[in-house]
Amino acid sequence: MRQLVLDVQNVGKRFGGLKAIDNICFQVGKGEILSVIGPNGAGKTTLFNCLSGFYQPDAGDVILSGERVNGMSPHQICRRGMARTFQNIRLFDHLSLVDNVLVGDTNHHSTSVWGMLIRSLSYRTFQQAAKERAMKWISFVGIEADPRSKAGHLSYGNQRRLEVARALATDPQVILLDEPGAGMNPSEIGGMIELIAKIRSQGITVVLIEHHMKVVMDISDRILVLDHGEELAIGKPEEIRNHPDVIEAYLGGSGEKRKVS
Amino acid sequence: MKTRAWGSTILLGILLVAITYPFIWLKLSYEPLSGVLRAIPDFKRGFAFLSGLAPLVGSGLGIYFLFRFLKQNSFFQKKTTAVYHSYKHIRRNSFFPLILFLVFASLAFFSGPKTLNVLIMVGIYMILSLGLNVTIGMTGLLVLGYAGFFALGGYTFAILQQKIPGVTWWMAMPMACLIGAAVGGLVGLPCLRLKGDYLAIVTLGFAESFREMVRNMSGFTGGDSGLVIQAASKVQPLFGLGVKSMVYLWVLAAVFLTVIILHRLYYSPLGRAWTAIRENEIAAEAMGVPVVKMKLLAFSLSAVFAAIAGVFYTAHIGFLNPESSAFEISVLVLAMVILGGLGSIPGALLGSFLLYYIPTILRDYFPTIADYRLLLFGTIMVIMMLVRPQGLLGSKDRV
Amino acid sequence: MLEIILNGLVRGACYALVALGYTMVYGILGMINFAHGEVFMIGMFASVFGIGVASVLLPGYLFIALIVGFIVSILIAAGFGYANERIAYRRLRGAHLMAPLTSAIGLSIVLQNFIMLSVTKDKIDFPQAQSRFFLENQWHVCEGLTISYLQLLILGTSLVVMGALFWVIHRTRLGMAMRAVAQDRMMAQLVGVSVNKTITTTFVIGSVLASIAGVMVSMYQGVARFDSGYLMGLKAFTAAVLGGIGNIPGAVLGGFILGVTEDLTSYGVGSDWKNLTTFLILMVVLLVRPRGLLGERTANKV
Repeated sequence: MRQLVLDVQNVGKRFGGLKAIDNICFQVGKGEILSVIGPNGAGKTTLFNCLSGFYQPDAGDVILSGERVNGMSPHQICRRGMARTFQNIRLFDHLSLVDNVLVGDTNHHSTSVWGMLIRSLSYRTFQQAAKERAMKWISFVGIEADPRSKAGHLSYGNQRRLEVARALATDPQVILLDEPGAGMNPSEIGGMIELIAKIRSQGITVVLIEHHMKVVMDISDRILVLDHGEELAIGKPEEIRNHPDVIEAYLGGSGEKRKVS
Repeated sequence: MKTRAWGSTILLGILLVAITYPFIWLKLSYEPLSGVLRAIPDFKRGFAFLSGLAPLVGSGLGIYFLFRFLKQNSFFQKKTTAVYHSYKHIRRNSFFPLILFLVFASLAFFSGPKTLNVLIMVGIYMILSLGLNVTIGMTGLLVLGYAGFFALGGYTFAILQQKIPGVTWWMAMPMACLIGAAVGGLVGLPCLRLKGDYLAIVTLGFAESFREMVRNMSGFTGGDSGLVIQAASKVQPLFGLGVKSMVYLWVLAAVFLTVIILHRLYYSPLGRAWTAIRENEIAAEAMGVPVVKMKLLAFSLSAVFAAIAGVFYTAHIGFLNPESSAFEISVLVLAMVILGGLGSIPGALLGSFLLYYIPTILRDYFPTIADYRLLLFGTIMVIMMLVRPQGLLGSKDRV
Repeated sequence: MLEIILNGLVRGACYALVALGYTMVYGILGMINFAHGEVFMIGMFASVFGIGVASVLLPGYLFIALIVGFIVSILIAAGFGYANERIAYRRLRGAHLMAPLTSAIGLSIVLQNFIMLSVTKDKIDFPQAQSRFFLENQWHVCEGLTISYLQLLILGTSLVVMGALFWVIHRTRLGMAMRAVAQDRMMAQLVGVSVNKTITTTFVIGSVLASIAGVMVSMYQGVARFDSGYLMGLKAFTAAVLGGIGNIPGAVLGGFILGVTEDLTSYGVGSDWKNLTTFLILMVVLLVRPRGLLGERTANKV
């Protein structure tokens, strides 16, 4: 087993009387790719929100590299090494690409306000280095647009990539990708698969929600299937593909044609 | 504007006329006991109102057509672009601010007291609108009761010099900053933790309560009649320059310092975090920006600038009453920031210059213009939001 | 003591009526309607205008004039509510939160100053011929408690109006549309609710409630001023937050609590401190229980 990075123990969240997710358990090791799949409303995004601190789970623990992170606010969790992207893209539209990425980067390094005001040497060299790192991440995700242009003017696919770059700039151990391939055409999806593999090669653990079975089956080490907020199955892609419960509950009936493509 | 918006604007106008018509043209007066109502034609009042409105509408239209003409005139456009480019070039020079400062400082030597008064007030409003720009422009938090912090600074100074003889304005300055930051944090904390626009109303309530508190605690604050600053605490003449010139120089220095500080902060990781919060709070939080802390910092910082402006104002006027916390001043500063451009430092400077200077010139020719000021500011706020939300100089670019 | 509480309840009824407008708009748009206090003030002036014109045209019919005053006030306020939404909010719905707020504040400043410049800087009197009947007749309930007819009128009218509002919201198609838009604007649109129309209607209903409060407050106090809407707006907002903003019974409860608290403060501490109490309540509520007394904890949409 690889070195354990993210350990999710019996996490549950309810809204009023509705159990959004219940008793979710899984572990992810370093450099592993775990896909979370499930029909709409299965609680995938709720799970992500519980992991990243936007919701406080009612039950269970989230342990990131041996540290319990549930109960922390999102920015604290982010600083401890878990970054995320959003299903509906949330970029800083009026900031340039570099600035978007730098928001993720510079918060990890404390700079004194005094240094900013007098523009001390260490501050300037730090700024320069941060900018170079940001440029590196932008080219890492494969955006070729002018890094000084505004994020809001990017194409849809590039906006998704920029979100990934921004999350990577926070220097994470785990990156949570919420439907990175949503709304993309097949060639763009191919690029996204390559990008996810590249992220893994950096030693970063990837947890992703995805609807495109091609993405899920191609790159996942393991797959977690959710249904009605409950964990239906977890295992290797070929196990999931042949798992009777999954076929019945998730793919079942006419859904099969649509989903397995 | 779309035609439907025009339609509603016209509807608004008709409604306003409908409700005021009897008051403009007729004076309704009641006999309290018999309940008989008399309507006396009062054309004078209607005429006075319309004639007061005329210079405003006239100057507004004039500026609009001038703007359009200049925009379409290619010769002028070329010139302005050339000037702008050379300006950009000059700005790179690190001595540029120093030279600019010296140019403005030289005004202190050969300006009359009347000009100096206007310049000092413009300077004070510049500090205020730069400070307010931190919250509403850079961080995207609406603050409605900014005058409360302005008055807070002023009263800190006024009360200190009253209680401890010998306290001068510059000794009161650090104290005013501290109190401004502390009260800013205290007022901001409850609402900055929440989503939405509570801060606007809470600051409005703060300004109003501050005014009321000052009125009620008359033993301490002088109540409605206000506090007078002793001559020894005011700005002292120096280098053979008069008091007015010295106030001007100090205010000028403060404006320059504020601009430099804000410029550096805006283009630092701190400013980037503020802008990120303005653009998308949730994403900023997810990227590790401590949103509440950053908002509090922005809000306290802007309260500090207001307090500094308050001390200068009190030292300049030599007197302070509860009206310094009035809604009017908050609106004035807000309109300056919005006209100049949200988040833009030159915009805040231009906005405060225009909105203080133009009414001041017009006052010589149309004495009633002061009453119409707020009407003008309100209109500016609505029109700017609908037509040019980024303001005159505003661009939301960074880097 | 009973009398003080009664006065507080009457005051609270007016706060509640105005607070309903805030809370409805907040519920449906998630924004504060900053021009709401001004609509209240417009209601005051419009009623004085309506009564004035009616009693010039029909001298002697006091009650008819009063009713005309109410109707004129409601019509004009409804028009303002409509124009307010159209000018300050609709075109800026997709923009940053700051934009509609700023334009609404601008609009409220315009309204306030227009009235100040074109009508008067001083207070105007509510025609006493109309309010005298209600002020002078009293009803002795028991020892130490007398209710003037005006107080009865205010309490009665506001309760009826609130009841009607509940009925509209929970029993009619319009109410259903309003609740749907508040829940999920996109989804409501998909199932055939006209979102724009519903939002406009919400503004109009809120404005009508505020104008009714305006007429009654100006009758009660006997005067109207161009800046009456400013403080009223602040207090009604506090009432709405106290009850839980976006929650309609909450606004009513908040209004009554705030009214009684204010009168008790005036009695116990001094009337100078009444407005400060309001602000303190607002701060404490935001600090301790930001969702208000009846508000539900809502999950933020991520």
